[in-house]
Amino acid sequence: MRVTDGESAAVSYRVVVKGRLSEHVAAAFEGVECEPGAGESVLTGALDQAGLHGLLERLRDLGVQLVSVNPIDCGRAPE
Amino acid sequence: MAGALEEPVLVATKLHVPSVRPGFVVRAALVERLVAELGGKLTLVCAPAGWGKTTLLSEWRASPAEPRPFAWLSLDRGDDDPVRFWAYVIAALRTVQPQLGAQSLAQLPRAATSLVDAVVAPLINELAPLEEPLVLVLDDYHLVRSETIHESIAFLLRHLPAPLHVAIASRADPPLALAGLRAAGEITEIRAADLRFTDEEADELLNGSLGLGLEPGDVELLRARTEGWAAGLQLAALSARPLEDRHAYVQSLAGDDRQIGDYLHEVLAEQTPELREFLLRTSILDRLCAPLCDAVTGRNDGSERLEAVDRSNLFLVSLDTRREWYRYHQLFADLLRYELSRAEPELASDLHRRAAAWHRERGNVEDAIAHATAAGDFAGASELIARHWRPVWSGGQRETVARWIDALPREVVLGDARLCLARGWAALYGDLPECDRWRSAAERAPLPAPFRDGSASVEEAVAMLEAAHANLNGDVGRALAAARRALARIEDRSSPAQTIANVHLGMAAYYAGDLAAAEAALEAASRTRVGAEWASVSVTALGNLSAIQLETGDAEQAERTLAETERAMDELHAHDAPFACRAWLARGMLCEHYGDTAGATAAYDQAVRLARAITSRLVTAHGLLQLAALDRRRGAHVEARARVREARRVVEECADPGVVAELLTRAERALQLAPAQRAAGALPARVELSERELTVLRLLGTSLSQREIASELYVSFNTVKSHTRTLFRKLGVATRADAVARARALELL
Repeated sequence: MRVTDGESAAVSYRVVVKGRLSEHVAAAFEGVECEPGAGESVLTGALDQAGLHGLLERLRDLGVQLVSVNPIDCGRAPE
Repeated sequence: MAGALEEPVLVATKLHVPSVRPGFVVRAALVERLVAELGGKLTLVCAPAGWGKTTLLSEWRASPAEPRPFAWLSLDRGDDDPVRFWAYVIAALRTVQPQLGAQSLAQLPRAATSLVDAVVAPLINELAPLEEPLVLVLDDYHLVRSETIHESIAFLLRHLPAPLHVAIASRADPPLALAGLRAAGEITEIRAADLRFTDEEADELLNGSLGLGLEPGDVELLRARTEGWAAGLQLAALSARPLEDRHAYVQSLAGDDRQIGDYLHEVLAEQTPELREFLLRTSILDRLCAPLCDAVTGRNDGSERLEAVDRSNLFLVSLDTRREWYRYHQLFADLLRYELSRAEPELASDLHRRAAAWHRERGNVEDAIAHATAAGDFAGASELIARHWRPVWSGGQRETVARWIDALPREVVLGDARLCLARGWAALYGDLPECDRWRSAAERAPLPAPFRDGSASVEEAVAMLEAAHANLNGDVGRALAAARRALARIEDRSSPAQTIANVHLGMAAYYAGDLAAAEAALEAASRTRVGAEWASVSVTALGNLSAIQLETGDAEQAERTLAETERAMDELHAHDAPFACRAWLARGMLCEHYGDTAGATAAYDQAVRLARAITSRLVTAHGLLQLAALDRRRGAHVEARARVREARRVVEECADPGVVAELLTRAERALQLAPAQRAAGALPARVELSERELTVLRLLGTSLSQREIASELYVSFNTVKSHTRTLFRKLGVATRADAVARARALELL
């Protein structure tokens, strides 16, 4: 923790994972929307760097396979 | 020392080698590969959770073909602290060789940033002559984030003593500079692809241990569906177990793309309500024993429940041989926690509170703080931290203190002067500017509850931290003022605080040039006895005192004081401790006094090295200048100048370097270091440029070459070159762009 608030702003990310994430698992990720698909599921949410890494780590720990991670351009340049 | 945070019983659970459970599928081919790796340094088992890493390593150990003993360490999040990490590594090694690591353990608390020299190197030397080879297992290495730890392990691997083989299990590739080892064929790597269950192994698991009675076709299906992932197979199998028509169920899974979480949901649904409740509630615990489970569930059937869970193959891992402590497999626990937060979201906080209380009663500080924080009981966590941070910090575990505080919300920390101060102390030896910011935050922060670490008031505690910071940072005036403020506030003249404040006063007065005040303060400090956790302070005080006595002309007294200092250093195993830098400086000065140039050089070298490790600027500069003087005396002028230039760079970082500034200018004059030869980047105080020089400077800011400038000004090329050289010298720069930038900064242009 630094005394002054870090400049890591929240960016919207789109994380694609393999398989269908059940509602049980999806509910575990706060602040993140989950669209279960047929072969893949899409998670979207506004996250700062720490939040993004936390999400990826939890996905890893649950044995969920990552397909891609991309920032979503909403008119603001991603970090 | 690591045990100061936890009961010995809990420490033992981290060193316990997981036994191979009956019914586990033995990965014979993989074990054979591991046993056969001869001449390799490292076995790396790297795969996400649930692939069977730990199981494989325990099977390897249990294999009759493997003769070596295993030193096992199961890492926790809290082990991400260099001091604690190595304390546990040594403890693990001692389960095989009980005499190992005494020196390293003793030096650990004071090692600060010289971990490799003070701890790892001696350990390597102790291991090298051992006759019996052994294996060190580091399980869950992905929990380690500290660069210091990674560097120390990389060092161990580079200089691995022959009898030792290291095995690391991790969910992610560890940053250990493995490319070199890989190229040399020194690593045996096992990855997820290797850990996939084959059809035969899947058959053994599903039809053997779990007795599902599936047809080969179904086994293949399940194996393919889970891609041979052990945890997936296990859970899928458990969800199939209670069903009548398992065949149909397995078939239905084929077209299904459900994730592991769904299987858990089903497995849970199949348990009795009581057991389900037990599983969910105890999922918040990192480690479980029956009494703790009872405290959390509010019942008294913990023993029976644990047995039931164990019998049902529900991912319970035993942590000792007495059936006392267990933990859930990480994956299982994670899924349970998600289920808990989904089904009963408000309950988790309450459960954590109960766990915190249980651990607090038993003095398990680390667990108590973790649970209090997780419960959102920030007041409780703050109280625990306020009470326990000081001895943990003094024991060298600064990163642990930082971690505790960083886990709290920022507003909570900024709302408690005690936490801001502790965080500042944790930053003192690594990040001086951040340390100062925390001190400043502490000044503004309220004091919601009394100090628990012996501090009398916020003003006193802040002044103390400020003095410590200023002494390292090279701000003598500020250190003096702060130390005096602290002394004024201390009511109890016999408290450790009085001694420490006097030491800071003495150290600052020394570099302020007030030897009388320095001597008085340090003598007062050295006469009082302080507790073990402040012993480092007496080494600093005595070391500095010895230097003063020498400078005031009493060499004999200086010798006696230094001897006392060195006795203290022996007792504390503090020869490589950064805070001993002033003592080494004094030793250098005494050696010089008696004409022992070699001894003096070695002592000054050590002083500078240690001082740099904690950013003690004035001691660094002072040491460099002493070394420069020795160089000059033996005619090594080039080296001497280099050292003096370095000293100048260090002094320029100091807001108020006191007499060191004098020493520096004297040294520069003696070596005829003209101002132009000072380190580039030195900003001159006053620069006067002639009209001509200004004109040339302006043109240097354009894209004209020097020849073109000469032509513009109707002068010779050599004249322009000469002016340019003079400009560079006056402005203390080496390029045109820098000259223009500097001139603008000085508002000359």
